[in-house]
Amino acid sequence: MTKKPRGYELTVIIGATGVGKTSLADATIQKWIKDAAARGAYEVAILDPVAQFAHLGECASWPGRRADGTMDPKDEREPEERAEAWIRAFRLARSRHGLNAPPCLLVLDDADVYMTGSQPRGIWRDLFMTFRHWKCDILIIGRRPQTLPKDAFQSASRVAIFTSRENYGVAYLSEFIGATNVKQVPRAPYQYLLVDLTAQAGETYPAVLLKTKKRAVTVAADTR
Amino acid sequence: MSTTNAEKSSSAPTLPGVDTTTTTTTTTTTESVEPVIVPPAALTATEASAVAPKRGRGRPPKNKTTPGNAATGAPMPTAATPKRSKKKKTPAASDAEPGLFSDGGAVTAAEVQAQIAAGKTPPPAMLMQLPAAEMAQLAIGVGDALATNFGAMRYGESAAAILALSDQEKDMLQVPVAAWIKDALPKLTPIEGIVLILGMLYVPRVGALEIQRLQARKAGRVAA
Repeated sequence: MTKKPRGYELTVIIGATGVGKTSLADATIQKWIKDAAARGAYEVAILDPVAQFAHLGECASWPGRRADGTMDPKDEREPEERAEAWIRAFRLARSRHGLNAPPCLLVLDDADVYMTGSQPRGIWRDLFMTFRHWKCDILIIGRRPQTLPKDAFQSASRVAIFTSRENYGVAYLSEFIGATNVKQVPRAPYQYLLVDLTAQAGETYPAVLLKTKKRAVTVAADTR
Repeated sequence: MSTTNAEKSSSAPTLPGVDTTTTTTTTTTTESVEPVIVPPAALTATEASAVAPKRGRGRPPKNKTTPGNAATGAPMPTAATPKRSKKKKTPAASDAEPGLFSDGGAVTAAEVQAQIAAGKTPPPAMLMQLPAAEMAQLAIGVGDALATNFGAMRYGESAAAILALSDQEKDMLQVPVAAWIKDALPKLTPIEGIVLILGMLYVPRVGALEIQRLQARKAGRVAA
């Protein structure tokens, strides 16, 4: 039996290195695929600077990285340029479907590498403002909340927050998730606070403390 | 395809006996890097077993205790009874790993249109997932329904409310509503289109007010 349809959503995963972000993202991607496959056609695209999702196949890519995992030495673009080229190509590829585009999961891993905390411009702003019309669910994974666009948090349905090594990073989040929830962010690794931002503003956003399982993740040596 | 340009620069001030001629190498990569957005074939459905926990509202029920024990004649607790510690316990993290996206799959245009065809009213959140082009098609369909039912039906009332915005638009009551919408929609932004459709489908009077506000804002912009 297929489940009821829902709107497109944006989710953010935040936390320090090695606390379980990728493990949670991996489980989330696979659950998304399982749900989507039960309802028909779907697509997955992962902007993957450090090849953490290489095990998912060719849907995980990073401009300039060759099929064998090495980087093209002639490609000297900055990460921001690579990411922008990728997302433009992604939009073009989606638009080719016309009206029959299947639902898509767009994963932006290590977003700190190519995004900034300032107001997004150009195609990034377009993405965060209109991703529902791109027929995309979005999963953003980053280390520091203050280096991700505010628009991402403001458009998010949920935020999963792992422990941070800098107090300011967690405090910064209070603007989006509320001071009460910030105090509940766990200190231990492989635990995270899942905050539901779909509640109406003015209320305390409901949050739940959860654990994620540690999974082996292969990281490419040449990440650039 | 990559191109490399090497050029010599000798504009820097020279010192006797020192060759300051430098070589600047600029690499421009024009290779198109397109993200591959495909279903990852390697995945199986067995890997995702996360289930979103049910979230209840309000406090859990308190243990019902009766003051004193009627059967044994035990006295009621007095002020001497040691109070319970008010120290808050840190909530334990749950092992349940929920999907970071809502249960169910992302909506498709076909599902929205199937609901409308079946005489059901799709929720606004579902309607808002549609790309602008699909909204236009939907609006034209709604407009046709308005034209068909114009006059006596409840939609007629909503159409009158929406269209009675100005003298000029009052005249439009004489023309088929579908034609008006067909003419008006391309001039609207997606958000205005959504407001228009919501206005017609769900809350005719509120929708009309919103349209008025939009028009007032537009007029203000033009005047400014």
